[in-house]
Amino acid sequence: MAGKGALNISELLTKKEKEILDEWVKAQADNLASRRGLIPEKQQREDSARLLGVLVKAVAGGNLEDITAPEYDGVNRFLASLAASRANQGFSPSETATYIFSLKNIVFKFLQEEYSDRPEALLKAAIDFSALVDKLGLITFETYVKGREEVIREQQKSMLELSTPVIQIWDEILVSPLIGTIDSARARQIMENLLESIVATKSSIVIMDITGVPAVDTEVANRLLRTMQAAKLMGAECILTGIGPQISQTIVHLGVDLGGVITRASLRDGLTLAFKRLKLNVARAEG
Amino acid sequence: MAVIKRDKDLKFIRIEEGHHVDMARRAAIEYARMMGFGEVQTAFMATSVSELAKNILVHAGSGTVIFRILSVGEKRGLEIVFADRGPGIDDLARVLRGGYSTSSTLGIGLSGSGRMMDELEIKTEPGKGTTIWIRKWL
Repeated sequence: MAGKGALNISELLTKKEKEILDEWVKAQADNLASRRGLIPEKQQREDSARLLGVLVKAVAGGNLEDITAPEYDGVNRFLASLAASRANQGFSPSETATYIFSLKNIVFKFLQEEYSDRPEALLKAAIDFSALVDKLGLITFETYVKGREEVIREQQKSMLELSTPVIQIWDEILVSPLIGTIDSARARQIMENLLESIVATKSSIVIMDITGVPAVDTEVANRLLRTMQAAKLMGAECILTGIGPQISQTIVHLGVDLGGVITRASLRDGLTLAFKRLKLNVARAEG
Repeated sequence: MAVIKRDKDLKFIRIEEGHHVDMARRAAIEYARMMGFGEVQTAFMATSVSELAKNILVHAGSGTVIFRILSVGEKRGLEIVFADRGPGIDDLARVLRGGYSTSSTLGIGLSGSGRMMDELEIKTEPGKGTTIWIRKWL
C-alpha cells in the first residue's frame, strides 16, 4: 500500500472506475481515429472498459512500477491483443499508443478534483501514473513491432524455400540456378537439395548456375566449392556456370582456387558441355 | 606530400546481423556507381565490403562500416572504414599473406581485399579491436 502522505491512486481508480470510463470514452468520441470510422463506438467503449478493468485489478496492490509483475499479466495480455486487433483495423502503432496515453489526461483530472488541497502529493501521483501509462503505451508499440518482425521472418523463410530449386532438365542432368545471396542457411539447403536430387534422379552431371548471385566473396566461393566436392563424392560431375567478367576477375584477385572445377561463362555453354559428356547430340530435325 | 581530404560522410551502417552485410554491400555498389567507377571496380569494392563486413560479424560480433568520399587535389576516391571492438588480429603479417584462418574458411578475404582495392590500412590492437580503411581512387 502507498505510504503515509502519498496519494492512493489505486483507490481512486477503483472508486471512480465508472466515471473515468465515461469521461475517457467521451474524450475518444472527439478523437480523430473514431471520426474516421475505423472502429465502432461500442467496441471502443468495450475495449476501454476492459483495459480500465484489468488496470484497476493490477494496481490494486499498489504496484505502479513493475509491469512485469504477475498482477500485470492481464494488462499485458489485453494490450497485446488490442495492439494486434487495432493493427488489423488499420490503426497505425502511434494511434494505438496515443489512445492508451489519452487515459492520462482523464485520470489527472480526477486526481486534481480529489486532491487539490495537496499539491505536492498530487504532483508525485501524476508523475507515477504518467510513467505507468507510458510503459503500457509502449507495450502496444512493441507488440506491433514484434508482429512486423514475425512477418519478415516468415517472408525470409518463404524466400529460402523458393530460391533453392533443383531441376532435372534431362536424363542424368540436374540444374541448380542460384539466385540471391548465399548465407550459411541457404548454402546448407542448396547442398541438401542437390545431394538428394542426385540420388533421386540418378544424375551424373550437375550444373550450378550463379548468374543470379550478386556477389561471390570468399565465403560464397568456399560454400560452392564444398557443395561441388560433396556432389563429386556421390559420383556427379559439377559444372559451374554464369561466371561473368566481374565475378571472374573478383575470383582471380581474391585468390580463390577454382582449379579443379569445370566452369563455363553461361548456362547454355554448361548444358552443351553436359550433352557432350553424355554423348548426346542435339540437332535440328530435317525437312 | 598530398593531403587526403575527407569530403563527405555518406553513410554509417551498424553490422550486427547477416543482412547488415548485404546492406553494406549494396551501399558500396550504389556509391561506387554514383561516383562513376566502372563495373569491375564496383564489383571489387562490393566484394571487399562483403569480406570485411563479414569479418566484423564473425570475429567481433558487431561493428560499424562507414562510407566517405575523399579527395587529394583534383583526384577523388571512395573510402570505406570497418571498425570493431573485437579481439583484434594477433598475427597481422600472417593474415595479410593469406591462406591463414582461425575460422575454417579460406583465409584469403583480407589479403584478397587488399589486392582488389588501391589502398588498405589496418590498425589493430589485441583485445581492443580492429579498424580497417580501404580506398579506391577514380
